[in-house]
Amino acid sequence: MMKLNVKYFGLIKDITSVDNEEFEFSEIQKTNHLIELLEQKYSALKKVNYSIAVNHKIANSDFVLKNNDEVALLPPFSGG
Amino acid sequence: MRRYENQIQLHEIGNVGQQKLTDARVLVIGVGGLGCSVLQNLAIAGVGTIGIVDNDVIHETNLNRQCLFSIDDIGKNKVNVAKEAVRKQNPLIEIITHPIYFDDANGLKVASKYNIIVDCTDDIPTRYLINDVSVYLEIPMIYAALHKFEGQLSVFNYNGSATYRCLFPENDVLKVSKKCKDTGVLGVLPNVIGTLQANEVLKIILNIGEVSSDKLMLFNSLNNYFQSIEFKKDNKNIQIAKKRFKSVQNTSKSISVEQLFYRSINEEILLINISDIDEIIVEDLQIVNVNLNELEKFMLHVAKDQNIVFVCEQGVKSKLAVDFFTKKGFTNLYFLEERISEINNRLIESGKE
Repeated sequence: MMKLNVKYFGLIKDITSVDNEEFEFSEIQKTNHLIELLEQKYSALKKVNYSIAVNHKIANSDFVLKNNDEVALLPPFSGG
Repeated sequence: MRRYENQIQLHEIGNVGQQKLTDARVLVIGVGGLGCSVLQNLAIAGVGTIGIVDNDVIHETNLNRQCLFSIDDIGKNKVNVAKEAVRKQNPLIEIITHPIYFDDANGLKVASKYNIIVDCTDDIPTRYLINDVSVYLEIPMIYAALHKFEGQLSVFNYNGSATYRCLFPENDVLKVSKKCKDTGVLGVLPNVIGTLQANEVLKIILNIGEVSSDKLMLFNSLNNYFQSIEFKKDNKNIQIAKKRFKSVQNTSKSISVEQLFYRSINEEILLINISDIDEIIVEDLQIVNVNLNELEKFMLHVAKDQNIVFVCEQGVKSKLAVDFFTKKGFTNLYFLEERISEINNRLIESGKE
């Protein structure tokens, strides 16, 4: 079993309506698997440009996730 | 004068640091919540030249956060009111107003007169433009942006560090529209983040502390949660930024120091130094030192077919000057491939021989 903590920021938090969520997987997942799952749950995510960070570092789409990793979905903010 | 006494007292700053602040030229793009806070902080610290870009007027709804404006200012031009407000706080500095929207046509020309750009805009396409301008001019971009109770802060393109495009690669399919929806904001947030943005500017000018480059700082004002996210330089995205102003480079003709000395034996070549720093005097070469701002005035005294070579510190202003003179009908224009320091180096080398 693998547990992931996913954190949402800015516009993405507006879509998910929560700050963070925990997910459990039976097998090893890459970041793009996680994104697929999240986009199924929140279809509006498909319309937002964002970067992904794993344990406070920006990661690419085929980054291999480990148990207890913290994943952040970071969109650029626009307001000033 | 005792105005700066308390900061000069800090050994990290001192008189030398204060002089660095006086000599600095900072461009603040956008005079909203962030911009007002940044301007005020830079002005009172004594940043010598501050440019302000905005083409909007003051609205009543701005007054909950934009600390430079008052009720009598509604309907007036933001840059003019901001200039007067900060001048009242510090009359010793120079404020240059640019009552325009920063865009592809004017961006490079406006920004080329400054050493640091502060991004206080409120839309994403302009942020990509500012990034590309800062990459082209090889100057740092101090980024901040807000969403409701959250703020982002980072320094891009600082001594070759990662850029805005490295952190947020532009998605052609999901291109954001120019006008973003108003999401609401409480005044303290832009003032907190704007103050931090000004702090990054001051650290860069003074060359002290640790600049927030290659990391994105996130702040949530509801729970005071600060965190930082590391990211890396991505050459593919830096190339995208560089391509934007490629046409400017293509119109220019370059010449090396060797070619310059060689050609000057038989031809009359006017060397125009448009760097802010060193005045240079070289025997056998006709050199004038002209400030970029005075170039247009100077142009009136030069024949259109005169051989002109431009030189500057970074090799950027000289290309802009070639572009500018070309548009005015001059025909024999070049920019020096090497930086200005290189001429002196060559002279020292040849002196040794």
